Order: sequence, then C-alpha cells, then structure tokens
Amino acid sequence: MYDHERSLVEEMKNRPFALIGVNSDRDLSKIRTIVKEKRLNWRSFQNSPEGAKSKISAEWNVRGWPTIVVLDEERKVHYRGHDGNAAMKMIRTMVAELEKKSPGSNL
Amino acid sequence: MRSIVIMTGLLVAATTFAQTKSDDTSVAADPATVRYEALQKKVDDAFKAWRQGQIDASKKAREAAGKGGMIPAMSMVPPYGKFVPDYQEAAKEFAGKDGAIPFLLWISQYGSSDASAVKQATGTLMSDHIASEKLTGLARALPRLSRSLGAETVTGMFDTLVAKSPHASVRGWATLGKFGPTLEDPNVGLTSAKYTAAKATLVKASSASKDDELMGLVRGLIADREKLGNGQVAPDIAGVDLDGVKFKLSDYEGKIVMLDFWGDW
Repeated sequence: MYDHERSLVEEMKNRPFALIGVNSDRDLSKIRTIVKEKRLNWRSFQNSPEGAKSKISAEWNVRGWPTIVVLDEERKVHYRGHDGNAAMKMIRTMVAELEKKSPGSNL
Repeated sequence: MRSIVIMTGLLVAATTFAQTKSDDTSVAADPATVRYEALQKKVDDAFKAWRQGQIDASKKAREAAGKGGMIPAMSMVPPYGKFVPDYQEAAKEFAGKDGAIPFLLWISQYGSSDASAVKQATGTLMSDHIASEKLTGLARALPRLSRSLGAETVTGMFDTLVAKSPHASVRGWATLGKFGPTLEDPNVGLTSAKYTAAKATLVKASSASKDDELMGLVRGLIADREKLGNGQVAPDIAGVDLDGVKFKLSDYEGKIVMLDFWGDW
C-alpha cells in the first residue's frame, strides 16, 4: 500500500489534494526510520502523542487498520472504510471536479 | 504488508472468541460443561495447527515468489466444519436441557459450512430454549447468518426474540440486529421518521439491557452515522506530526483529503 499512497501523492502534486496519516505506532524512532527508508511522502499525526487525553482513532471510532476517510474541500465525509482502491478512485474524481469548480484551488 | 494486519487481527479475534466461549461455560463441572470443554480443546488445537500451517505456507509462498512477486491467496476459513457432527451429537445427548445450548450456539456460530446444521441448531434454540439468557449468543450471531438462513428468517427470529425473551439483554441484542442496519444505511436520512424511530428503539433497548458492550456499540453506531457518516462535517484534529510539530486537519480545508489511519506492525 505504501507504493500506492506514494504514487498518489506524486500524481496529485500541485493539485488540491492532501494525504494525511494518523500513525498508531508506539515507537516513534522506528516509524521515523520507516518514513525515511520507504520514502513516505505524506505528513502524519501521532495517534496518541505523549500526554494526550484520548486517541484520535478512538474519537473517529476506528475499529480496524488501515481505515481510510475521504473528505471534501469543506471537510465533509465522502467515504469511510478499508478499500484503498475505491478511495483512490473517488479521490481522482473529486479532485478533478474541484479543479473544474474552482481553478487554482491548489494554491 | 499492511493488508496482513486485518487478516492477523481476524485470526487473533477468532482464537480469543473461542477462548472466551470456553471460559463462559466453565461455571460448573456438570457433564455438559465437561463435554463442551473437551470438544472446545479439540477445536482450539485444530485452530492452532491450522494457523501455524497458514503462517508456514505464507512464508514459503513469499520466499518462492521473491521480491515483488505475486503471492497466491490463502484460505481464510478455519477448519471448523469437520467438528459440526461432534457438536450435533452432544446437543442430542443433552436435548431439552440447558446443557444443550452451548453446543447449539457453537453450531450456529461456526457451522456455516453446513447450512442445514445451522438451520436445525437455530431452530432448536428458538423452540426449546427461548427463555434462556444464553440466547444473547444467538441474537449476536444472527446478523452473520443471513446466508445460511435467509434474511427473512433472520428478521423473523429477531422479532420472536424481542417478543418472547424474558431477558432484556437478549431483547437488546436482537433489537440491534434488527435496527442496526437502518442506522447504518446512508439512504435513510438522519431527519427521517425511520431513522428517528430506529434510534429511539435501539437506545431504549440497549439501556434496558444494562449491557455495557451493547450500549457502547449502539453509541458507536450513532456517532458513526451522525458525526462521521457520509455528508457530515468531520471533526477537526489538532495534533502533532511525527516530528512533534503541531498542525490541524482544518489546515487542509479547500483540498480533497485522504485521511489514512495507518501503522507499521
């Protein structure tokens, strides 16, 4: 899946799209190494940083990993599930529609 | 690599569930419990051997495929089917008594490879044991039994359990089975009478059950739909990235966002 995500970010460069991760690994140094070695090109929240009262995944009722949520430009939910291919297909359509609707929305 | 996480999770969940069931039935050392635990041990041993076989086969396939090669699909179905006759025989031995219930429940939950066995077991539970609180096990399993029993039969069983069970926990789980799909259906609007009625019925039945797990599930279902369902504005996230730098999800408004809950384990 890393390859698909990396490719999507590259494909969407300079377009109105962002891939944001919520990473659940406890060992931060290990995950930083993986980000570097696997050339992961997206920014991630720490799911449960030190001192946090609750986990982001708990607030979002995430019960299985990976879970993908697709949000539109107004942060409205369009997809929530585990099917990466379906999510990516939807994203390509939504990005193209947004570009038509508001040219320059990537700025 | 990450797709394996869900598969491994399912396997661990299956083992844990089997162990939980074994614990549930070890209240007293009556003949039915002794028999059930002996059978359960056989099943657990078979499951462990199957799981190890899957791990070994997966490792071999990975090595044979080499880097970037295709790995053939592996079976995801544990070998439970061959134990169905053992559970049927035991259920027959304790027929009409409470001791038969765990065997019948096991067939209902794990005997899906034999639809007629599932049909017979669920039918016996409904006709001979409708007053038992152990039928929470059946009410919980029914949503997964549509393929073996047919959707109409399953709906009828939910209605019967709600109407006839003297136990609020059984009625609560049956109510979840019946109305849960309405709450999850994106075609049923949040302001529609159908959604409002289903939500009210579920909240009432789950509260009456005093079952923490059921109440949590119902709360989760409602939050899923009302906070995170399609068309809802998702909550903002204010957190820190992997380098400890603060940022917010709302920083990306105006863009299409793929939010990916991930981990490398």
